[in-house]
Amino acid sequence: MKKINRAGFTLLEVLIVAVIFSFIIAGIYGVMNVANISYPTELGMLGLQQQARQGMQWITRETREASLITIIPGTDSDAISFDTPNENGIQYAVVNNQVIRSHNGNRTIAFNISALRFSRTGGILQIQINAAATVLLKPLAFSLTEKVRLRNE
Amino acid sequence: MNKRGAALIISYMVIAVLTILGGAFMLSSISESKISNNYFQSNQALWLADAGIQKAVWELNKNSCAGCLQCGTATLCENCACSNANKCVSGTFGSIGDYDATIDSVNAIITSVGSVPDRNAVNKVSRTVQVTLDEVGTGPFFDYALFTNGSISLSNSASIDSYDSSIGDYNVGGNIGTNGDVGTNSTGTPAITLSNTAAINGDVSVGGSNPNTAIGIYNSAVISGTKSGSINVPLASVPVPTPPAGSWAPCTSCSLWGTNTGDLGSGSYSASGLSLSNSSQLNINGIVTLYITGNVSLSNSTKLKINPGGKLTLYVDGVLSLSNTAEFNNLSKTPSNLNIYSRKSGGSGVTFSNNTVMYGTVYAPDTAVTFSNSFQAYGAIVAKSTTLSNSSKIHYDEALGQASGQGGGSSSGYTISHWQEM
Repeated sequence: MKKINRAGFTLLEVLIVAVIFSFIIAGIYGVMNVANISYPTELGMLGLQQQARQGMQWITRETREASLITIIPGTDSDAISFDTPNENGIQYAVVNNQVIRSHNGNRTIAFNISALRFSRTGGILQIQINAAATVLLKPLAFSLTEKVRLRNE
Repeated sequence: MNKRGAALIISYMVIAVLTILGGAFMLSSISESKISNNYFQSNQALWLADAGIQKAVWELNKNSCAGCLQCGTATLCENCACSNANKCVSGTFGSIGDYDATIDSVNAIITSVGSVPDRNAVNKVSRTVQVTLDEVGTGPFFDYALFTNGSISLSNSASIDSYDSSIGDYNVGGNIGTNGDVGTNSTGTPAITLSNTAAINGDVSVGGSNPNTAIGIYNSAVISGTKSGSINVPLASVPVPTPPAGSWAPCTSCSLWGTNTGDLGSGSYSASGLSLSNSSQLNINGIVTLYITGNVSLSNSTKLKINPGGKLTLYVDGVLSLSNTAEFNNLSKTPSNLNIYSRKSGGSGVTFSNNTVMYGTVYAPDTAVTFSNSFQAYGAIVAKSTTLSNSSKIHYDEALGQASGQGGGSSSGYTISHWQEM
């Protein structure tokens, strides 16, 4: 009589494989979970940095050649108004977490800005921009400070 | 034999997927890197353009054609004569970039272009800055904290350092520097004597060829900068002033005593003497030129007060002396708003012998300037010879030298009145 080889896996073998497999899945899940959280967080942070830099670049470039500077202090953010050689009465302020440049209408310069601060010592203007956002219930913040020498004051 | 192998195909597919993925990441990173590089180069171009402006102003004030070079391919610089309407100045900073500044001296405008990596590059990044200049008639320009024809002596903790009044007050927010340079044309040995913990926070230059024998340093005195020799900066004597207003008005408030107060508005005034005694006070309320043909004497607790918006140019033929707690009270704290010219020849023409503070400049090429008793001067001094003792201090204002190409003294020159990025 021909013997048919019906040897499969024993229950024990299957259980062991299941346990090992679950460990591997758990490990992969852990890694994926960390990646899932850190990707949007880092992306959000990058966005904040870009917003703050963009706002800063606009403001420094214009204040460098500004005259008649007036700083209007506020509770969360200060506003600034000044003249440049080409345009008079330019104002920068934060409205609804956006940096708004007002001159013949409004223009949004940067988003997610929580605070904008100006302080002046003699011919030096110090500008601070704080950007903030919440990603996956986690608050993110980025702050940038720059000093500008006022050449036309 | 099992011929159903799919491993090769599968591995090819996996490699293809990974390559596409990697390529996408690389593209995104290359474009980010280009953006940041562009930003970086654009910043460099701005500062190069600004450097061109500074160099052009310096060349203009130096009034020499030595630095007037071929500007790129432009022909502006040919026949470079100082009276030419257009001149230009260019410079190259190694592999970083270069600038070309065009000087329109008729309209007093300088336009400077900074280019990265260079002016001829196809993918260059350029920024342009334009400034309008103010011609300064006879404003004194000072490259040194203290410059003399003769000897200099610092003793008893006297010190010299620097700050920049265009940034703010001295020693506020790090506004303190080591550009308190001292120079003398004297070839004496020693030409400069420092003793008893006196300090020069800056460079020292002497007329003699060997600075080591010309500078005597005793008792823990220090010089923070370098020492050099063989300099010679002629110091022009102060001519008889001409009144900017056309003629001299008599100064009726130039002799005050008791608690009297006098006022001078904008104009040109002359008197045979300026004498303030007791606690009297003279207010300068505008742009004032005052020519005193005799002596200037402030004693007791008198004040010569320069109100904000005011500026005093004081010419003195005789001796100028401050004693007790008398002071020049320059409320704007800007040294360029008080310029004292001494026309006295020989002797001790200018004496500050009290514990007060002065924001101003003194140009006295033919007479000695003496500081004692903790007097503090914010500004710059040019003198025939100088003695600083008893913790007297000079805080050199770097803003005074910025428009200057000369060692010191009065000359016409240009300052930037208007700065603009194009």
